[in-house]
Amino acid sequence: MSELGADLVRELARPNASGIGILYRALDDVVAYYDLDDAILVIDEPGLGRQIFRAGRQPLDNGSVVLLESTTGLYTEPHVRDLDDVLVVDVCLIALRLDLLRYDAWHDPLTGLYDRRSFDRLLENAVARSRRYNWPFTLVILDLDAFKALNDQHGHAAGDDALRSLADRFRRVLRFGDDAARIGGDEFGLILPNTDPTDVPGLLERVHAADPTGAPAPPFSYGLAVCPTEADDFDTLFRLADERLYAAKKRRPV
Amino acid sequence: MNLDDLELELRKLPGVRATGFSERDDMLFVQVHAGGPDDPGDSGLALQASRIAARHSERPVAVELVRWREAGSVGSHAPGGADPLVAGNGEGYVSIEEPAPTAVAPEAGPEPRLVLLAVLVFPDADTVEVHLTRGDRRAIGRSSASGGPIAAVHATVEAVRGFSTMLPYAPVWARTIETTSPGRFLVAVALFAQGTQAYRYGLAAGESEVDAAARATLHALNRILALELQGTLT
Repeated sequence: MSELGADLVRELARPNASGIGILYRALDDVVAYYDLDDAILVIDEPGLGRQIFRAGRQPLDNGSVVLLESTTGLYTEPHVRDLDDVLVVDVCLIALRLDLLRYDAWHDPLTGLYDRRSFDRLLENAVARSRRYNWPFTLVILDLDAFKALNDQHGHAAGDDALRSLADRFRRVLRFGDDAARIGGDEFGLILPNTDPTDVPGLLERVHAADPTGAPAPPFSYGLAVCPTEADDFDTLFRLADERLYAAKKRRPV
Repeated sequence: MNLDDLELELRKLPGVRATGFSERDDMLFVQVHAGGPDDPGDSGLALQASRIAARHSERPVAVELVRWREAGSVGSHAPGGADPLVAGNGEGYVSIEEPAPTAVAPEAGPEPRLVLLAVLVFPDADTVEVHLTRGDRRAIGRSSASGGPIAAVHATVEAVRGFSTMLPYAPVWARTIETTSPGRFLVAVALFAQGTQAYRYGLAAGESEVDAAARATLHALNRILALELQGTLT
């Protein structure tokens, strides 16, 4: 067991180690080491609440589902008397906390989208891929219209609702491989690989229509820039999209 | 696809307590368990989980949301009945597939798939008929029309058995996911094989709920039927 513990700690020390990956590695190793049928970890972690993990990332079945209400700890089938479960549970908790810290560092807490730091990195990566492999993408910068007036007239909670609503619409509409981020107070960035700029208005129409309750989308303006046909560097792309955004805002009726 | 990122994002949704994954040939199956005081208990969680899973996966994704409410009260698969997306604090399973595959369509050539010829409803006789064909052969399945979409699933399974007497799957539920436009329905179905304890899920659009349910049943079964029928009917 100490050998397993040492392996897990070494995994933890790896740069960019995936906490969830280590957690499942721990469960799978316990199953393999003791030749078990199953292993399930039940934790209760601030920021995540009660969570149940099953070896092999398997769905819970009728047997394991009873652990949804059990006390925290490591459960195995069959039960193992000499299992150092404290070590396994502690390593798993540390691994998971690493993931949560990393997640919080890269996501905007209000909308759950990527934050500005993530966006900059994603855009740099997209530009690098475009230069290297000639993969095109379209950058879209959006800004909510009259956001200040919304906050002033209806309070900041209404402003927050508008931001969350738009973020939720992005999650509904964007495809696999598209990225959305909140890059400023009421400003969002979209990176859309292999998307022709003429397709963007249609996509944003779908964003408008994406709420199944039929609630109107918060109004927004946008500007876009295409890589590599218009520019193939971060700063120029961002500037082009930003200039077009503000040109669009000026055209919008007040 | 990075399952770790997908799993973490799903587990951060309010009320989510466990996830499970099964990578299949044609789709990624994702199971999400939710419950407890922070579970919003509405349809939003099912939609959010589906969107997140679809965003992380290149393949079609089936998301099964399992809601549980109190100690020892774990839902079971709910047969038919209410639309899970408006059912509120639901006992039982809520399941939707995302993204929606296209409806099952007739295919030319040697493809050994069953083709849906017609779904007929006879209100006077309280009967729904599902007509299937493959090559020169036809089969008809019938069920009580008052059962709604699940009746169409039963009728389709009966018709399928006209081609495959070994079919081990029985209908579990059928649910209308949404009406995408006037006269356009999206229905999800689940079938269960007692012997292997395996589920199959299908999703399809149709002109009516029963039409979509019949197509979704074929969507769920056509892959295994194609393999079976290839050896017997070509």
